[in-house]
Amino acid sequence: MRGASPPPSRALPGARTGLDRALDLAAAGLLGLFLAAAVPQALFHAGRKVVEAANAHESLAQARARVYGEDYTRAVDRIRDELPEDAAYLLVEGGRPGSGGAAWVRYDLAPRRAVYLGRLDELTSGERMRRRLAANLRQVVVTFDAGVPPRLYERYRFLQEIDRRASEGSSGR
Amino acid sequence: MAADFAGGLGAIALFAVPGYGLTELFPTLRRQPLPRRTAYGYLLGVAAVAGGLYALSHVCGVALRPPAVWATAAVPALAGLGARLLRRRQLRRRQPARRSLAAAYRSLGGPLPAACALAATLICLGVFAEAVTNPPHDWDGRMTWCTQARYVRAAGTVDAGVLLDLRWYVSHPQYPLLLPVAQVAAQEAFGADPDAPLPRAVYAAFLPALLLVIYDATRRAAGRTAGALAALVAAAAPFFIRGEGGAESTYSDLPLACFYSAALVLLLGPRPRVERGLAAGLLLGAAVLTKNEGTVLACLALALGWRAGAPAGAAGPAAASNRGWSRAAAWRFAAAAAPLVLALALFASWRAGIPNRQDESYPELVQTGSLWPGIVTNAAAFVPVMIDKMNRFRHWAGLWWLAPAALLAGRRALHHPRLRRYLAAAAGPPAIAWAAYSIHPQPAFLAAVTWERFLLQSAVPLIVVLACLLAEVGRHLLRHRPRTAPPAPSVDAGEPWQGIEPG
Repeated sequence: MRGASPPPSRALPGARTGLDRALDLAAAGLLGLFLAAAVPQALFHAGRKVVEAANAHESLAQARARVYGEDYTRAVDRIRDELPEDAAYLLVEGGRPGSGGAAWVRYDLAPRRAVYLGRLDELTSGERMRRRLAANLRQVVVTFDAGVPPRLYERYRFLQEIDRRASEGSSGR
Repeated sequence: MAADFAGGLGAIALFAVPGYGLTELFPTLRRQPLPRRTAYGYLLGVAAVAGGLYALSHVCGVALRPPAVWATAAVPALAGLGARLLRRRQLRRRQPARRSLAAAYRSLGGPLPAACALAATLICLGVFAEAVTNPPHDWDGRMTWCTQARYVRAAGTVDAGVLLDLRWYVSHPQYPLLLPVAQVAAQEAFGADPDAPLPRAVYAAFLPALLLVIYDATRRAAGRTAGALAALVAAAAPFFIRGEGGAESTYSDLPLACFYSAALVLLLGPRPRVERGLAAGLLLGAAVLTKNEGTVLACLALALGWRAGAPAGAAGPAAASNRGWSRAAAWRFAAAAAPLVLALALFASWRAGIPNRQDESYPELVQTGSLWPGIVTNAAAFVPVMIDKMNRFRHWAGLWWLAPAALLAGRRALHHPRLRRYLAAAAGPPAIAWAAYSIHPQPAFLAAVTWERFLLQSAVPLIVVLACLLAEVGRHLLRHRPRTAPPAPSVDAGEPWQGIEPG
């Protein structure tokens, strides 16, 4: 009868060896170790977060500045003021690859649309860039490592800057 | 502005109230005690409201604005209210006894489960407090999910131009959008500032839902104490809370784990019931619309649920009973499959219009990469990374050291067919991960950034199995004699104890 059968955790009884007993003790001990290590830590973390929330008397802007950094938030707000929400911009990644800087700036500027131009150190010719541009966008946002404020350029200025850096590089060689 | 507790609670209620209404339509869920009913209700609410908006927006072109959000939330809530009113006469005739606080405490099963419940509640409260105080600060949340939510909110449609036009730089544009749509719904419903942390509360609420699903599954299999301890283990594991993909993030992994495992618990129940299958199907549909791997996991859950609870072969009158069971199981399967198929169709249709970019193209990788022998040869690159991740005390506090010992010590419990199904379900996400790492050109990198999230996705079935094994170990150590009679049905149990089903 189904109703009378034991629950899944109740296994068939069998002969228990010394090894079985050692395994039982190891499993129980490791469970105890986990609970002893993790539960107080989790409770402490939760308590800290509740106290922080109860004491948080800040505006959204202040909360963003606390989490993302003041300079970064100020720079993002400045770009938001310059670019209307339905605008688009050219995105250049100036930080280390994988630092996340471009992703965070793209998030902070969304729903403004981005066209990815590439990595800053790979952009060596303004003329070549001009030919590559698929969209006629006037602004360029250059991002850096996570937390470093992004910069907004007019496209012509940015291209001039690229050419200047390229000529400096070639004359330096 | 102080921490936005009210906004966060409102965002959660936007899904929990309609979901609670939906549970009224499913007798199995309706009979659950309030916390577990609310947990399933919350998951069903996200599935129904966000999934409904996803479909309305894509199929009918409905704008994702407050009228649509409130109407979509009101329909299941009113349906539940209507069903409740229809049952009113029955309820009057059969008034349920009012339960006192002492009875509620007793129903928890004693001081240890009560302490576990209290600790887990405090941990969930901490997650909620963090969510309503800080803007998103995780990696994928900002790179993909929250950014997509901003695009969708601005466009008022899931078919936002920025996703459809190849020129625009969008990370993972073909990822399913159920959770971003849930974010948009919460923001639109309450007119929230785009920078407000309000949608984060929607993610934080998945943690208590996950813990209650774990408790529900484990309690049936191994008792209340094991269930409460299992839920506490999940609540206390640091990665579940603070990891990239955990409850304090805006990744879709924890929601996927919830949808997948709640559907599993319903499908692996002992009696095949159509209503249970339908509820599971809604959750599987939500899994499909939550993450790419949700499609594979939903199909796996459906397959595992197909013969779950099947009686052993018999002759004579028992054979007739078996035929009845098979018919009921077929209906359950059909009820679960229908919403899943609809979700797959919606996902395929939505995705068809979006050119892929800034993403791994797995179909291409499958063609160019070689699954065989990569599945073996690549392992040398990614297995050490996986082991390293699981060994990180800061992430897991030694949880994975416990697993092999429990598996060996309680191995006899694995003879149980339902436990084997849970084990197979737990193997699903790691199997997907293994396959992806085998064909990926940078398997070690991919494992480093995704492996723990796959573990999170398989957390519920895995913890249920571990809890049953450890309950077995506990019996060995306490020298309990195996009881032949089933435990008495709990006062709060949704249905009488079903026990083990023959293989």
